Amino acid sequence: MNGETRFNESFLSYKGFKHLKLSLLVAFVVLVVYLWHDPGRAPNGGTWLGYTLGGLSAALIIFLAWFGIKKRKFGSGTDLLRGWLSAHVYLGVLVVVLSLFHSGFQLGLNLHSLLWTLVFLTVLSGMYGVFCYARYPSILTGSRQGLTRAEMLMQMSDLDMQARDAAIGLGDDVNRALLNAAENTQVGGSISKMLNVSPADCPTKRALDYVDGANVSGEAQEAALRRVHAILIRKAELLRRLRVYVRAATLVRLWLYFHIPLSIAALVALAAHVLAVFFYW
Amino acid sequence: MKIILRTLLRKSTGDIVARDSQVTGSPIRLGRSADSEVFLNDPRTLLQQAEIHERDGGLFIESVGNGRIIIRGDSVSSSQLKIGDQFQIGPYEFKLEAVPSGGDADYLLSVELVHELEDVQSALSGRSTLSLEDLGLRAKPWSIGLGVLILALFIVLPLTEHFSGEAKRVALEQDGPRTVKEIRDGIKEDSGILPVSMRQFWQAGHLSSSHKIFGLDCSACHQEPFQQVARETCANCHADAHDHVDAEKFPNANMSNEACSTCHKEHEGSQGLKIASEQFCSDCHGNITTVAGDGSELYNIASFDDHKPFWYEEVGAKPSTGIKFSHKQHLDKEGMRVPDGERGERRVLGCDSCHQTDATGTVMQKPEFEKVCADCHSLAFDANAPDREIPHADVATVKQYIRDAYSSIALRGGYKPAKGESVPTVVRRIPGSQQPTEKGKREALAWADAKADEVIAGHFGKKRCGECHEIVENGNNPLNWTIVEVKHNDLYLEKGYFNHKPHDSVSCAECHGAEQSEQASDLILPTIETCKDCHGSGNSVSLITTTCTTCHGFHKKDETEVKQ
Repeated sequence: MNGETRFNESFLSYKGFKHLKLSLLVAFVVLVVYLWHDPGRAPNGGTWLGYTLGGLSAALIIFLAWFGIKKRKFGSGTDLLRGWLSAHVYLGVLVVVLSLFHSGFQLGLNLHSLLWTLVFLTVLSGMYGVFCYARYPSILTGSRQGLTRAEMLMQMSDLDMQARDAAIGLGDDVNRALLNAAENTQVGGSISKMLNVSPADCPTKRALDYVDGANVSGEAQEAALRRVHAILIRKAELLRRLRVYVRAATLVRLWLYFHIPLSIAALVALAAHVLAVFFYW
Repeated sequence: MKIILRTLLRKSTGDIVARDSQVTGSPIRLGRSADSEVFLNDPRTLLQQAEIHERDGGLFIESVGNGRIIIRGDSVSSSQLKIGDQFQIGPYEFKLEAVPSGGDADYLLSVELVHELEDVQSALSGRSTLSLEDLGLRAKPWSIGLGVLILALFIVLPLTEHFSGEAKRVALEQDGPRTVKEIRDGIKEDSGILPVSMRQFWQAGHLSSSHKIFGLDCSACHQEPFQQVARETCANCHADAHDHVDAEKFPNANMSNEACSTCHKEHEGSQGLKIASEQFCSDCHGNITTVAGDGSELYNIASFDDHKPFWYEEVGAKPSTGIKFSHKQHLDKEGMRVPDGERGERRVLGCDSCHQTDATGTVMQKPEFEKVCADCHSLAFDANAPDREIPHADVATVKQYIRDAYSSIALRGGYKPAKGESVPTVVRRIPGSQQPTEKGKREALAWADAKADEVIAGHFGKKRCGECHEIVENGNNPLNWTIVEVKHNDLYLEKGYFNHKPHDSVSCAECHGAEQSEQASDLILPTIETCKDCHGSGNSVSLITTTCTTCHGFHKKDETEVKQ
């Protein structure tokens, strides 16, 4: 287990779940006050409790967003970063709860509910990020087996050349399949391909299938075909491992492409929400 | 056929290295096959790609199978070759040349691999994307784009709509507030930049039903940015909303500087605007003796459960009605005897035989004698004049009517005396038989006066009126009696409102108990305990929720005014 994995597992339990306990305590207190509070009409953001919870939620949202900027200054894996990340995660979930109480559970087709939805989606994507951090680092290191991505690619290209040399005396169709496998095999290429570990139309897989079923006559030809087959199997395995790696690496990053734009959108919507409320007070 | 095969290798410096070898064959075979005379070591060529034949003194190249030859720009399967011809097979380029002098061959064929197999590794790297960054994906442009979109839709556009709408409103309101029609017309015109108004998405909740008329003309109420809606703006329509109390007398309750929206919350559908909470009132009225200070006769009340008895429940507080009436008698389950009916006919009366509310249900109308009593209670006063009935009017009119009636009867004649009654001849004469003399007239009128006196003071006058009215005697003169003024209250609960209509499902008797009342002075009004049988405070689990505003208004002058 290397440092990266230890970090990913430990930020959730940072200092004996300090931030989880804090968030649960705040949520509980708010729940009690919410149930006790009788505004004389449906609970909403315009009561004293509503304004209080709204202010608290807004402050938390800004604090959470600030972390996104601040964390770049921390060294990866430091205790300070662990603490901040732990707070970021638990307080993020807390914001969804607080803002729901703030709204008095009133959602509609308006800017204010859009803000809540954006915050909710941001937190949801963040929760998926936490899941990824817990699940994928071991896959990322395991799939590479000590190789870098460039080394894996280099090995595959090398195998392609070996296969071609081995097949030069074999039939045109085998050569076509190998050429296709060498020239058109691709790792990734689009998000959906990056997430697909075993694409059905992989040229290397097709070449392997073809070689599997090919018939040749003569001992030299059979030996060449066996050699080609063995090379292709090695390439296919390398390819699979690299694809597993790419899929994990993509998932570990992909949620951020939702988390960051959503959080920026939520910040702007928060500004619009506060403006709308007080502009037409 | 013998040819020199010249293999050209182009170095990275640009220099060309030529390596010659001699091949013999007929035909000369070109292909990837190891036994080809011209061995093409590239997977893009076929095992047997093409053959060069010599016949009829000419040289021909022909493809084998599906292989194609590109010569002079055309893709062909066979062609004659002449010295100087160039042709391409797969990635190779060939040129047929003359053998240099002294060479021991028929032809010279140069071959060059002009399309190298691609650099496999860099090609694979180039095709592959191992990270999202390789795809050119960046979170920043998405973030900025989404942020700008929300900024434009939910900040810029609504503000634009506000300022353009506000400018129109100010222009229109130079001569006072807009009419409802002007507001409606403005809303129809005002479509904003987008086909939908973006300001509508600023609304956290629906407008109350009564304010929906303003639609999305936010400026109709929100005239100053970052300020609560001003009292004056509300007063454009609600000028009659009275202060809760006399602010001069009770300065603690002075609300003349409060915005209406402090209490009346708009954009909460229909529920926010009207305040029904007990707490809203009990904040002050729970401790009103302290809050209001001297000068208030109110008692502390936190909820309906604390409501004290109505004013008329105090001993001796019931006002006199001036009427003698037994509800019990009239509501006899066997019914009342009908005077003009058939023998033994009885009519069963109900409450609504006499009592009807007005159209609103709040006011119980005064039962009029002519409508509800006269059917049974005849005001006829003389059997000789059965058609004549005393008008149900004030006492003076009644007395005068009786006098006039007897004068008229006396002068007309035809009066049939009762047994033992002494009546002048002129009054008894057949009507129209002869004109009475002056003396006769005086005699007749004297009789009429005496008769009228007898009736007014007697059974059909004072006693008849006295059946229902309290008679007031005046000195020793038996004719000088009068009656106690009849008092009918439209509303006994002047500071609250009560409506009979929502109570239709309850029988009158459940609240009024009329069957047991033998005297009008019982004033069978419900007590507060009667109300509390069904109504309770908001805390009650089994009673109808009744808050202050269920019965009391806040801004209504009549209900909140302090009586001096």
